[in-house]
Amino acid sequence: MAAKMEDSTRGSGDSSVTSSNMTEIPTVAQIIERQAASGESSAAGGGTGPPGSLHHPGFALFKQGAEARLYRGTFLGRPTVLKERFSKKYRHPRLDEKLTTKRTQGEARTVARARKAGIPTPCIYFVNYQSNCIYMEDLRCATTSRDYIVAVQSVGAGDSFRALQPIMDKIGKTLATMHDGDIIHGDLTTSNIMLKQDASATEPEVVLIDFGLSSVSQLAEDKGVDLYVLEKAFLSTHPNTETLFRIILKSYTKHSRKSKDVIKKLDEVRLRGRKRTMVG
Amino acid sequence: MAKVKPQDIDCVAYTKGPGMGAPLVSTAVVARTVAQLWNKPLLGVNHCIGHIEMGRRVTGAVNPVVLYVSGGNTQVIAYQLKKYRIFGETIDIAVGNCLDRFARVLKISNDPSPGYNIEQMAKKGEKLIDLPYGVKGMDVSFSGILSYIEDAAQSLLDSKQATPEDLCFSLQETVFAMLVEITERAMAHCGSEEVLIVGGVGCNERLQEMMGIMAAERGAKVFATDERYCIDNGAMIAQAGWEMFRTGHVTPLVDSWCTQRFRTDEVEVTWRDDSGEPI
Amino acid sequence: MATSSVKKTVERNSGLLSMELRVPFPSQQLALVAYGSLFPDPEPRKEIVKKLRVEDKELVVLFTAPQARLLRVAFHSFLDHLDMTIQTMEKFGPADPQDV
Repeated sequence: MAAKMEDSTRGSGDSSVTSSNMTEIPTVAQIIERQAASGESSAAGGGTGPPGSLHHPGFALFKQGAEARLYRGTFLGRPTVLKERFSKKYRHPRLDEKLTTKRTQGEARTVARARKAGIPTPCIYFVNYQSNCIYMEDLRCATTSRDYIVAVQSVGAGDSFRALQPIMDKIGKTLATMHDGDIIHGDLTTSNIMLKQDASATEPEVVLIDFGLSSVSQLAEDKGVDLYVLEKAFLSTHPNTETLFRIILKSYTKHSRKSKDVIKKLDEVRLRGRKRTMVG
Repeated sequence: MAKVKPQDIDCVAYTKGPGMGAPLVSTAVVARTVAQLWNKPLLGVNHCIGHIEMGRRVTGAVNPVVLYVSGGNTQVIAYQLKKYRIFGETIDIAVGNCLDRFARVLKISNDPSPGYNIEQMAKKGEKLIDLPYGVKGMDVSFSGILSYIEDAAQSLLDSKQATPEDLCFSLQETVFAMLVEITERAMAHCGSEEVLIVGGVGCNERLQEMMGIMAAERGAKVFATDERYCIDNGAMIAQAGWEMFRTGHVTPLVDSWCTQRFRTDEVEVTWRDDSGEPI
Repeated sequence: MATSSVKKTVERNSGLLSMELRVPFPSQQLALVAYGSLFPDPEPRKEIVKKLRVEDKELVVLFTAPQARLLRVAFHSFLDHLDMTIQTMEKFGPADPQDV
């Protein structure tokens, strides 16, 4: 993650990669292109990392997260990302096994449900429950909304708000659809909200990934907490973006059928945090 | 008492908050009085920042992700752009509060502290009882675990499915796994290779051990302090007050009121910069 | 250190109760130190108003509240804090109170 952040900052400042002027606000497509050129995007293939992994022949490791490793390769002729959850030695073996299995299953189940509800998310091709591996569609031509916001903000001060507005609007709409389908993501961050734009597409599309902590619930409380998690992640990753986040909420409110109760719960959860006296 | 004369002192620091109203005001009154008598500048310090700065001072951690765990707090904090930002926290009760209330359910002694006794009993526990696991993004929730165990404890004990030691063990394994997990997420998020544990629950050696295993797996380092520094103390307020003072903070009397609610991220951290180098 | 006098009144128009406390100090400087130590914290309850001033060597405190009970609460906690200030002065203050 750290390396990724450094790369993207370097990429956005590297004018040799792109012909556009540095002070111009980049589009999503430009960011994807830059990242591809700097060799760290989702479309970079096996350029980095070992040519093939021991446990997963034909797949190359491209990202090591806190609880999963991501490999890239081909599965049944399709470009595929392999997500392997590994055991965490710090926790009790039984708890570890329970969580790993539960999250692998949960992710597979929720992705299916999300796709049915019309939420763009990578298609799952195969799940190996023995090794806790998920084989899923390789998102080509995509970047994280985190990288995009950072890139835009590093260029324009006043204009960045206007440039990001349509994207925030789309994110709010996607979250509204997800919650109306009673899907709770459980780990919304700007790293888990991807922006995808194929060469043929005129506009970027919001794609949600990483449903490992997801659940199904109709409760406004759970949806409120889901938004609260995003709000905290959003504001801590991108300081001083309160107005930007408000667009997401506004769009969410507009597009969700049950937004009133959810926003009320969100306010309640926020207050819980503020109200706690935090003694000792 | 330390053999210090008023002329050896640069400034007077006190806790502005958060905390309980009455004790905060009492201390503030005395701090204001000595500051005026000795003609020294006054500094209102955030309690949580006291923990962080004391932890950094004692352990030498430079730019750690901080897990602050106590009876009233559960926060994962990291420095960024002149603020100690809260990346994760409890959305209901603090972990220490959860442990204390669990101790009451099992009638575990308060001497020297419920948390310490739970830790000792947990060492003799063997069986892991399934408890709810409440990680939500980088936040945690403990109230579900507490109410589950409040409901189930008696029948588990009566039916001999678990001993009190097993329950202590299961509770610790579960809540600490949650804390280590959100800390690791914050480390991944910030690209940090240091983790510092502060606050009363931070004395727990099993928590320190689990954090150590997590850190070792990702090539990071754990910094923890023993009970002399983990538990609330006056020196930590002095340490944070000193950092503030040397970078130009002063609290005028008129602004020296106490507040029960004082978020860690409200304070402008003037004594650090974003390169991680000391100012 | 000081003997104090208390005066209670009911203000006719507002129906508010008020009470004045006068605390003499050995010097005006010490009265000002006490003022500086005791004025910053607002009353936790909004209905209670506490106003401090220094007149010569006296700290003068005016409490106003809608009920006697509230007045007593404010007064009690004030006395605790006043006691703390005076004890601190006695422990850490100048041997000769004129020296501050």
